[in-house]
Amino acid sequence: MSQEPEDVKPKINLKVVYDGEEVQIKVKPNTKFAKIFAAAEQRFGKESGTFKFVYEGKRIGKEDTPGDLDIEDGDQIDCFLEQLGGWQ
Amino acid sequence: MSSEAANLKYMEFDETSDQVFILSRYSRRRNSDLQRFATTDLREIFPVTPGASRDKVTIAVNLGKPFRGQYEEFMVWMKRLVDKKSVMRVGMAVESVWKTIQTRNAERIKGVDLAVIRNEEDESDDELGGWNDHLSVDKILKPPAQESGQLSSVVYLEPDARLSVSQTSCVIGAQSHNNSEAISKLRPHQIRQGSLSSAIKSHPIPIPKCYAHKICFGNLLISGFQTILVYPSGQTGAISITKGDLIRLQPNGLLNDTLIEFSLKLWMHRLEQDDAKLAKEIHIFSSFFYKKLEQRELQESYASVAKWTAKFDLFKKKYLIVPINENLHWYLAIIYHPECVLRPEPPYIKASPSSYSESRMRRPDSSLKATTISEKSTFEDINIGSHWQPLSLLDDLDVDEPMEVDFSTEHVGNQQSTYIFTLDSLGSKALAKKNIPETGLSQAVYKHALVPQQPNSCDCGLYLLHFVQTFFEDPDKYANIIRTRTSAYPEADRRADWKVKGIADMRETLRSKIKDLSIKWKRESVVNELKKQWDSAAVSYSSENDSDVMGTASVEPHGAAPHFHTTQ
Repeated sequence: MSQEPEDVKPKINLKVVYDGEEVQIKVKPNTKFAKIFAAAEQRFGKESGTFKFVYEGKRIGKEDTPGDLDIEDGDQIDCFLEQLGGWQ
Repeated sequence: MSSEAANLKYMEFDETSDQVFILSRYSRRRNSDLQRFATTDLREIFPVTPGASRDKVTIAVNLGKPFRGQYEEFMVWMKRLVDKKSVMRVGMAVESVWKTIQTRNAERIKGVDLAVIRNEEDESDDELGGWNDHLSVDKILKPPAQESGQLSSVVYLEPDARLSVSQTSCVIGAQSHNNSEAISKLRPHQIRQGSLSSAIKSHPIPIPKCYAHKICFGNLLISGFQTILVYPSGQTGAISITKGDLIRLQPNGLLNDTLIEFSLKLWMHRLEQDDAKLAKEIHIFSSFFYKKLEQRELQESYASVAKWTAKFDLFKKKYLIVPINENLHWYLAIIYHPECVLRPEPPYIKASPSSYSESRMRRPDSSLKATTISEKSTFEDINIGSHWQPLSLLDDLDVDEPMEVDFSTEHVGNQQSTYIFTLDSLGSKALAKKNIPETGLSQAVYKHALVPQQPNSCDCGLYLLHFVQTFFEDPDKYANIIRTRTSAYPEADRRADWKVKGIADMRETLRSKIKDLSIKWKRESVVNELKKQWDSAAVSYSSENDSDVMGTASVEPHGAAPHFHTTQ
């Protein structure tokens, strides 16, 4: 009875895209992104920490939640590999 | 056996086993080959004996079990190196060696991250492009201590990234105190055993100074995940800097997206204080913006970034900064007065026929788009992607040529056009964006800026940052410089105009800035954490009180109340 409010919160579907491939991840608005990152990396078969995550052009932090960023159902999260530069 | 770079063979990625990369550097005739090779900063890891006419070095790199991305990155890095310096050759022999290692010596090679073996001259293989087919596996596998005269430097590292987190922090700790001396005294077996902190205190075996960032291709940096700074803390889009990122700021380190984005944010923050008006006129794109654009077809790529600019009016900005990463190289595009593309096309700016037809071919649906755009000029309706069609890298084509605009017919001081400036510290490459003429709209003018060139192979990220800083000290002045300088613009003048001296201490400045901010951030985090705990304690306390009050209402007469009232 005491934990009810959490389950009542609507779940949102995140569209997580890496290099043209897309997976759906269902999350609660108050789920920390650290968890979502791990799930996404797992779905794409990557080790944790591989990706940089971006929502609408902005970096997502591990401690953020979809609620913090006003992410809505069906919104897209982009994953990128690290970019390095220096060589000719 | 391959003797040319074109015949290179690379192992496919296989995530079930350790990835060992073996290559041989070999020079038969010319010392200059070696010299050329030695100008890269690999020279410390792959030492060259001066004066040796025939010098062969075989290198085995065990990447442990890298992530596919890291492995591919490593491969790209290697390929570039090899393409440039055809001194490096890799042939079929690699595979046989590789197989042998896998099947027979899997146990023994585990733990070797990088081994450099200097082979004796071998007369029998002079036509084999440096590959010695009967290269003995044992030679590679012998631990350094037992082959002291032969091996110039060997690094042992725990191949499992997940296990080496604590080691990483030790290394970083030592490095960040500029204590490369200590690291160079590490005993390999001690590293392997994970007792790095004690190893730092002890000695021998020289490890190259630049080793820390090299190993990022193996597994050391991968594990430097620990966040040391979130900037700007508490805001959306904040950048998390890890220990691994910090390492990249060491001499010869390559800057990554995080550092570029962080530095631009830092700079923007300063600008907001110094010149709020100018700061408001600038929008900085994420370094992934261009990546996203070039990934797909035009329509799709536009759709994929449409939301990135949905929360503000892009065309109200005067300057758009786009950091671009391509082929392990950073460069910069600045879009100057983006709103000008919305105006009717001035008659005197004409693209040359070649670029026109080429762009037609690339973009089949321009008429369809133009009708939507001409009515409304809100940013949602503008297919900005169409102005952003990336030109693939064509080394043999002078991309400057077809896009050159005749500036004599244009009033340079009189801003009429949108300009796209690309500022590339490896200017010769001219990686360029192409502007597509759009019926009814002005065409953006592409201008490849003549900027100072980086003297090395690792600083392009810094040049990018420096170009941003310098450009915005006086945007109009620099826009003018970019627009008017022609090919007879000597490097010395460029360096003076763009104040490249400022780049010298940039790494150190950034590092100390990050460290300062990190201390603050950590302090704040602790305070916030305490606050949170305190708040939740307070909440539970007050709720206890509430229930107490309710529950004890009847008890009041018995004496609990007076005490309660006094505390109120």
